This record gives sequence, structure tokens and C-alpha cells, in this order.
Amino acid sequence: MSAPHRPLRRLCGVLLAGAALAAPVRGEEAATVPHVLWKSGEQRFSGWRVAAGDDGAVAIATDAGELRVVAKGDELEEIARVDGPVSSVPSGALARGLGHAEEKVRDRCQELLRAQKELAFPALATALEDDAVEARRRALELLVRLPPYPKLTDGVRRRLTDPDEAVRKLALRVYAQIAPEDLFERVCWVLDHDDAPAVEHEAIVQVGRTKDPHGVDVLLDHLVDLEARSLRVATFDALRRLTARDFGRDEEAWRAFWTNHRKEVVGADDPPPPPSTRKRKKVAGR
Amino acid sequence: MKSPKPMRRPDERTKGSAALVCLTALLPLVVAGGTMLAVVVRGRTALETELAKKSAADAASSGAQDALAKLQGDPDFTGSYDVDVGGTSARVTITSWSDDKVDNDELNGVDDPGEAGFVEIDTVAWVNVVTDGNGNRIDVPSRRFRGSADVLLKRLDANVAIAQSAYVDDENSDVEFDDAPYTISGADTNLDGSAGPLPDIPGIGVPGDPAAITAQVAANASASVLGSGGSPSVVKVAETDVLTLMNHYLKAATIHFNGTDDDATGALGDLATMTPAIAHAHGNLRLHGGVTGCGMLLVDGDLVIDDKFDYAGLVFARGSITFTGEGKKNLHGALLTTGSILGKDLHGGERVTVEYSSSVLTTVSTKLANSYILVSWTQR
Repeated sequence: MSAPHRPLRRLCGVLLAGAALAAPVRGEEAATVPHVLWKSGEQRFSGWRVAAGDDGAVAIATDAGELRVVAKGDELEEIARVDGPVSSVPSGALARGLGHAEEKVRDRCQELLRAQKELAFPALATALEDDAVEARRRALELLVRLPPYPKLTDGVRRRLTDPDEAVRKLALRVYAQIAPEDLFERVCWVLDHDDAPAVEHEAIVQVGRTKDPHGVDVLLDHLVDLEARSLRVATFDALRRLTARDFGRDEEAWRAFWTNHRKEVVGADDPPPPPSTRKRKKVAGR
Repeated sequence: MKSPKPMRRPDERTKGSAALVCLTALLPLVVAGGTMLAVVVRGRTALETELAKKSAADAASSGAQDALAKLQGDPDFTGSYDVDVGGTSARVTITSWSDDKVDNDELNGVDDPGEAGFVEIDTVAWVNVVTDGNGNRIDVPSRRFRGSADVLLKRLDANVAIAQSAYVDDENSDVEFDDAPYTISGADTNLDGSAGPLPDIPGIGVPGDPAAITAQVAANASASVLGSGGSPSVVKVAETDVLTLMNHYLKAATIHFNGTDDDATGALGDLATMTPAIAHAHGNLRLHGGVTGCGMLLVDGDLVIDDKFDYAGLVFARGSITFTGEGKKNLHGALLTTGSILGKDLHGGERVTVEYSSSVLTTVSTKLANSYILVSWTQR
């Protein structure tokens, strides 16, 4: 390193450290991330080193809130670096990284967003609308592990009809955690309309956890044409949770119990709902 | 001259009438009184009879209870003996169906394999019976009363065929620990950590497509699911009827949690001496405060294992099993659940460990085989 560069580097380091540490510490800090002053060609910029890809590229969450991936050939040079709190990394840039082509970048962005906890909510709301399935799925994975955030209700509700099965399943779980007023209706709607086994399974589980005794009507109706073992097992477990009774996996015993005790549980003025249209279609299709 | 008629005294006729009226009036009273007396005497006799019968029945029941206690101390005891219950003697006979030279079940002949494990307790108690010095009844005219209890027991077969360390009955359930460290190992390991005698079995067994659970395990860098059949060792296995097994073993439970949501702390069986007990929760159960134990833990709802936990034996749950809180959590033996296996809010970095141990399971099943399940109890 040439002599004139040394003071410049020191000065940059000091300024960078100031920028990194000046950011208010938001929440409990679990990790630090290197905040770096980079030089790429003639261009200088500062940002947070997020991850290095297998191909040598470096993913950087710039201070401007962008996720910039610099290829190995672009001669990226670190001028100065200082570790800063993870809460200072721009969440928007990390959320964009959830759908990145490199798995390492996606994983690291998810890890950092997770460490940011509630601070990541606004960025995750954006990620829920991302074109990349991976970004939507990972955003929901993060939301499952965070406390319920009711402001995301609409965004999560839209994901209940996502083209991707894994996203729909996770969306249903997050929606149940938020527990909006229309939860029972939505869960029943999913149960009635979604044929993906994983989503159907999640819907059955969530009906069982709503604690709404009308769920017994829904589950017994759904059980009529249900053959998949896993779904039946989940249904009997959900019935047990809803009724605090246990007739094991004896479908007839469950039906007999509900025929005899439905009025006591849900009231005499509340007639059972008509069989679902979905079931009729299935039966007609046989 | 006519002699004058003797004159009656004027009140003589009146006296006779009065006496007649009195007699007529007394007669119903006498009849009513006699009837009432007869009713009272009959009622008293019936009560005495009832009390005597009850006394005989109670004595027979107590004799049967005594036999149950005797079998607890000596599970192989057979023979007859007398029990004195408050002055009433009960004759107790304990017979093993397997070698009594009788076709007890009236199927497949005398002492067939179907009769193995069954033990019958017959108790007879008499009231108002005089016996000689050898216990033989002396036939004297008296009102005798007999009570009896016939109890059928079956010896507990606690030998559960374990084909994996953790059995998850629903392939769409979760095995999810939020990146916390955990080990589910199908490698046979003794309680002291040394290698056990049997070959490896799968870490997690699922009676369906294991892909979803495999993906969940693989996504956690701190997860370690070891055993046969691949890495992670999540393998499709034959279905185990978890509910039937639970229903069978809960009949021999000696520790009960009867609420819909119960808490437990302390010991569930004795881990230090490997003295097993069967504990049964009728609803959800939360263990906390450093639970240790040995035997079988049967939970009809969700099981939450909080704080430290050290248990040798089998854990069954009809709902999910959740590990949470601080402290090391070790299960030596196996677990079976119809729901999910979860790790939530695990603090302190301590690893949750579920490891297969054939020696632990053998010890538990051998010692629990001294228990009996009540099949029937008939009182007369």
C-alpha cells in the first residue's frame, strides 16, 4: 500500500465506523455484520457485506437500500470495514435478497432478517408481493417465527390463493397466528377449495385450533370423501381438539356423537350447514 | 199374687253397651298395632339380612384387594389363603390360567396359549358361619350369608416393538425446531452413553412419504437425525397403531393427571434405580421444574417439555410434543406421536436428545411385566 493512501484509508475507516455505529440500535442485537467501504473500478460505495456466492460474487446491501451483487471479475476492493449491528442493515435490501438466484444469498438474507425480528416487518410485507416464489415463501417462513403482525393481514390473505402450494400452506399458518375475525371462514374456504394435500392438511389442523365448534360440521363433512391417511389422522386429531372428546379414529363413533350432541354444543337454533359443493363434485366425478 | 219382677238396676244395660263399644273400638287398633309391629320386625329382619350380605360382599371385595396387593409384591404367587376382615373371614384363591389344567376360556383346549398371562382371583366370604379349628364349616342351623368376588387379571406385556427412535404417525406433521440444536438418534445407546448391543434403526419413522419431514430436518443446520436408512435418517416404516397401544397401557397406569390441562414436576418413576411407572395424562400435560422418570408416559393431548428433562422409557402423545425453555432434555428409549415434534423458544443452547436404547426399553418392559391389567371384576 502506498504511503499517501494510508491516511485516506484511516479517514474512511473512521467515517465508516461512525456511519455504522451512528445508526440507532433497534431491539436486541444478536449479530454484527461488516459495514464496508468498497471500491469497484472507479466507483466507491459503502454497504453491508451480506454474503459471498459460490462463483465469488459478493452480495452487498448498500446504504441506499439496494441489494447489489458484484461479480468476481469486477475487481471489488475493500477499502475499510467495521462491524455494525444487524439492525442497521437495510431490511428492504435483505428482503429483495430472499428471491436471489444464489441459495447462499437467499439463506443469508433470511438469516439476517430473522435476526432483525420485528424490524423486518415492513420489508417482509414487500417480499410477500415479490414475483419470486422463493421470496414469498421465505418471507412467510420468517413471519411464522415472529410475533403476529396484524398490519400484514391483507398481504397474507392474498397469499392464501398463491399459485405455489408451499406458500399457501405457510400463508394459512401465518394467517391463523394473526387470527383476524374472518379466520374461521377463510380456513373453511381453503379446506373446501384447495386440493393440495399439504394445504388441506394445514387447513384441517387450523380448523381444529379455531376452537369454533362449527368446525366439527366442516370436518365431518370433509371426512366423507377423504381417503388420504394423513388427512384422516389430522381430522380426528382436530375433532378431538374441538370437542375435548376422543373416539380415536372411529368415524362412525364421531358422527354418532355429533348427531346426538350437536344441539347441546352449538345450540338448537343453529342448523347444520349444507354439504359442501366440492364434495358433491367429487362424488359426481367418481 | 204375682211376685214382683226383680228390678234391674238402671245402669246395667248401659254398662254392657259401653263395653261392647269399647271392644269394637279397640279391635282395629289392636289389628293396626299388630300389623305395624309385623312390618317393623320384617323391615328390621330385611335390614339385618342386607347388612349381613353387604358385610359378606365387602369381606370378599377386601379379600380380592388383598390378593391384588399380594400379586404386586409377588407377581408369580398362586394358591389359597384366608384373610380376616373385621371378624369375617374371606377365602382367597389365586390361580394362573396358564397351568391350572382347566380350559378357562373354553377355546382351544386346556391351558392353551390364549390363556397365558391371565390370573384369576376367587374370593368367598361367609357371615354367621361357625368353623372348626381347621377352618372347616360346621353345619349348624343359622342364617348364613355368602359374598364373592371373581377378578380376572392379565399380566402386562410391555414389550413394544420399536422400529425407530421417534415415530411420527402423520407424514404431514412437523419436525421443526426453529434452528435449535437437537439429536434424534436410532443408534442403540445405553443409559451411560456406551454403545448398545443392537444394530442401528431409523432416527425418525413415518408410515408414509418422509419427504416433507426430511426437508424440515435438512433445513436446520443444527439438526442431527442419525440412524439407518440415510442421512438424515427419516425413513418410511410400517404403521404403528399408537392409539391402541396407548389404550392398552393406560390401564396399568399408576400416576394420573385427570385435568384437560395439567402441569407436572418431580419424578415419574425412579430413574436412578430404573424402577418404572406408567403415567397417564387425560389431557394436555406440561412438564417443568426438572422432571426425571422411568417407564411410560402416555399423554392424551399435547405434551410440552419445559426446563430440564431426563427420562428413560417410552413417551406416547396423542397430540404434539414440544420441547421448550432452558435445560438439557434427554429421552433414552423412544417416542411415538400422532402429531408434530417441535422445539420452540429453546434457550441456553442445550441440545434436545432423543436416543434409541434397547437396554432401557428391555429393562422397562421386564419390570413393567410384573404389573397386571384388570380385565373384569364380578361381585356377588
